[in-house]
Amino acid sequence: MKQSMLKYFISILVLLVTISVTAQKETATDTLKSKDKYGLRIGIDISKPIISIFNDKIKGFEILGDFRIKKNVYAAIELGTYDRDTQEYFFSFNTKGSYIKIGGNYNLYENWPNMNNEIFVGLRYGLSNFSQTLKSYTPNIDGTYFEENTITPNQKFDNLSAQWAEIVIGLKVETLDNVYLGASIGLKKLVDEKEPTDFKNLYIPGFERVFSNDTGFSFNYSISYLIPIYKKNK
Amino acid sequence: MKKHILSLIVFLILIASCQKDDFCIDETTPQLIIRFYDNDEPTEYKSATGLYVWANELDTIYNNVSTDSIAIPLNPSLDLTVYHLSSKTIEDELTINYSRKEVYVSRSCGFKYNFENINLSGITNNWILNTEVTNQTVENETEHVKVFH
Repeated sequence: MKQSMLKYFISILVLLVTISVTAQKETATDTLKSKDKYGLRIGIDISKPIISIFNDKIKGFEILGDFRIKKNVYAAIELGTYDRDTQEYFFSFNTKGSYIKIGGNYNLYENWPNMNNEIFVGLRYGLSNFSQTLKSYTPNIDGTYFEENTITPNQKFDNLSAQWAEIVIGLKVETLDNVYLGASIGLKKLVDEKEPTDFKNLYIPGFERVFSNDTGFSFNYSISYLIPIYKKNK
Repeated sequence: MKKHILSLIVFLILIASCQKDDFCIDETTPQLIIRFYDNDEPTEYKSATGLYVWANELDTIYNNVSTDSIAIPLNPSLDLTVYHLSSKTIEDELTINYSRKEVYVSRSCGFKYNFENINLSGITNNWILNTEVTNQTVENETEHVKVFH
């Protein structure tokens, strides 16, 4: 419940950011010649620490970086760790591991002079190594004639892995000089995974919840800093 | 173009905000199926009448019914279940022995048990004349045991 409230709250935030981007465009009437900044942008995902505050069962950390290659093309990378306890109706488990996502973004947003905002689409290849621990389960028995016993195997499945493709849509807004706020969503499709025996990867670090058709969805809110390396005329 | 992307973003975020809840619609732990046959015509079904069925120290599952087929749960905490079958106030007892195998079903259904190596012991023969295990593995709800009477 808290989580979905948080999601709504953040959705509204994103909407406001989007609106303010549009508003800025309308008021910017400057026609001075400007230059594009090129450099390495490094940031962290701020949504994951916030989620940890609301839900102490989820601990995640992600750093992200991108590098502008061409006017509208950025090479991008995300690195993260993930540790999550999940309680389902009939069982509980833990997912723990790390991930890397490599790819690029294409900026669709035509900036006005002296603005460095982005509305981008991107592609990622994701790779995660992780473990799942089946902590407890209650066998699902038809009816209530016999009492069900909860079993706590605490069985750990090590050396699991997953690979996926991801489409990213998002925006980045330069709010202070060289400081960017970003929001993005990722739609994922599993390409390959190593599953535990007699269990399944229900969450994967970096992929989040695995839906029944091997698809996933995640969002990301970031704050990042651009280390300018050189400038080019627009 | 930009407008389309924006509305797409908003749309996708709204979808993500309302994740659907999964309901368990898969099959879970199966029950043991016993079918009643005519001892004189071993291929013919023969209903047991005035049938009461209960497991040791538990309530009845079937109460004064006439049927040629019953589905009874096996005790998931033990490797055997003792059942009492009473037809027209004549009572018989039988012990079902098995090994349990847990099987992962799905996120919403969790784990179920399949039962393997089904065999019967401790059968009394007051109205039950003969028994036969026809399927040693209880994975789905088709006939597993024949009872002749």
